[in-house]
Amino acid sequence: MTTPSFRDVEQISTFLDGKLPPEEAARLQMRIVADPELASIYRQLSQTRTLLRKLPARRAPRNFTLTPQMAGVKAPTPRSFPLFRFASAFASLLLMLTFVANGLGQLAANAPAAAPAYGMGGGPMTEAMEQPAAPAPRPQSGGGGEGEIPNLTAPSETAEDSAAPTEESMRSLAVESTQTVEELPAAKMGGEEYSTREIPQAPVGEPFRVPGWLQLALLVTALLAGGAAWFINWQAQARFGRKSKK
Amino acid sequence: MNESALIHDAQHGDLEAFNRLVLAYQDALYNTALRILGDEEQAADATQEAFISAFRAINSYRGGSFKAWLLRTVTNACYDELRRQKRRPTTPLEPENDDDEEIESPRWLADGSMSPEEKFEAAELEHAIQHCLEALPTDFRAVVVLADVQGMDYAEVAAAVRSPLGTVKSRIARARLRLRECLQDFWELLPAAFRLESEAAL
Repeated sequence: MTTPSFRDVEQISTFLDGKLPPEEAARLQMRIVADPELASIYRQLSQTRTLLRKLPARRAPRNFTLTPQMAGVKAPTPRSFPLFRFASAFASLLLMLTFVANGLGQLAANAPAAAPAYGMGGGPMTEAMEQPAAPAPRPQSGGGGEGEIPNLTAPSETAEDSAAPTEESMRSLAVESTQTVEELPAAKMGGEEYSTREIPQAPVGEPFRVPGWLQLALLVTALLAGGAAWFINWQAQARFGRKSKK
Repeated sequence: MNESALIHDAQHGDLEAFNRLVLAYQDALYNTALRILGDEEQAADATQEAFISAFRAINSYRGGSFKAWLLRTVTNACYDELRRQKRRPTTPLEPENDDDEEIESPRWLADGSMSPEEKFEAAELEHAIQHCLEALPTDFRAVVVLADVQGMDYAEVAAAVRSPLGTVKSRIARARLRLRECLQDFWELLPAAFRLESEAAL
């Protein structure tokens, strides 16, 4: 009889689990039968092992199933969702670009119109000077266009010649002078017939404008695609929520 | 239950498939955690943590016993919990009396609420074993729970605790010896059948 070493204990433990090679197992069995110390250890370990294996299995106090929140799972988005989202974003971007393009077109159209006005008069174009660009109503009083030119000069000559102008002549002078202000450019063209409509204007190009129907179409596309993307996503979330509650 | 198909689906993010696996293995994981930690609430927490970790890491599962793989996650969760306990110590295992001395026969060994005798004896035995398990070092406790309570193979235990096979064999032998010594104190509580069983087997 020898004092069992830990190596013996380990062998007995492994033997109990059936993990000892057959030859070693046979040798150990013979030793256990022959050695009461080893037999005692064998019994003790076997009893302990049996006790542990007979421990009652407890049932889980609750279900440990995972919710999507616990698992960090997001609802799967349908394949069409990114398509609609992209369409909406793209249409919105294009719509914004059309507004920018319209703004730039307007600026470009205004810029050349302003430049000659500075060149001709040497100063800023006044409102009064701009008005002839619009078709101004021709004055009806005082006869036709031919008769006005003498009228234009006549008052000034009359004013110079006459040392004491009458009240009536002053009034008529005031009325005619206001009328002739509008006719002045024509008068200064050397008496040539030159209506205000024919005054050479700054070369105002037709401003670039994105057609309104295109903007409307883009707006509708952006709204519809955005709405569709939202609805698809909402539906998927709702379906996922119902599924995870089951 | 087609386990392979469920694992495959779970690896592709199917939470429902994973939850079916949870239902199949939750008792095993909870029992393991309970035996290692010795506290029902902590065991439940560790089990839940283990399943969450398992779902997140399910793509790292490369075949073999899925139960063993899950038990590894719960063992890790228990180790984490035990480390947390070390950082914030709790009440002593043995109840104490007014003089701060440990009561010889703790109240849980004589729980009068369990009226049927058999239930009482079973509970006593379970408590005694649990008490001895908790007295073991953590590494010994984990291997003996996995091998003897869960009936895992040595290789599976080695994989679960990430230790060499030889170390596992040695730890199991030492753990059984220590448990045996501890249970000597409660031997009178054990049914005679347990005492005679191994002798008859020889």
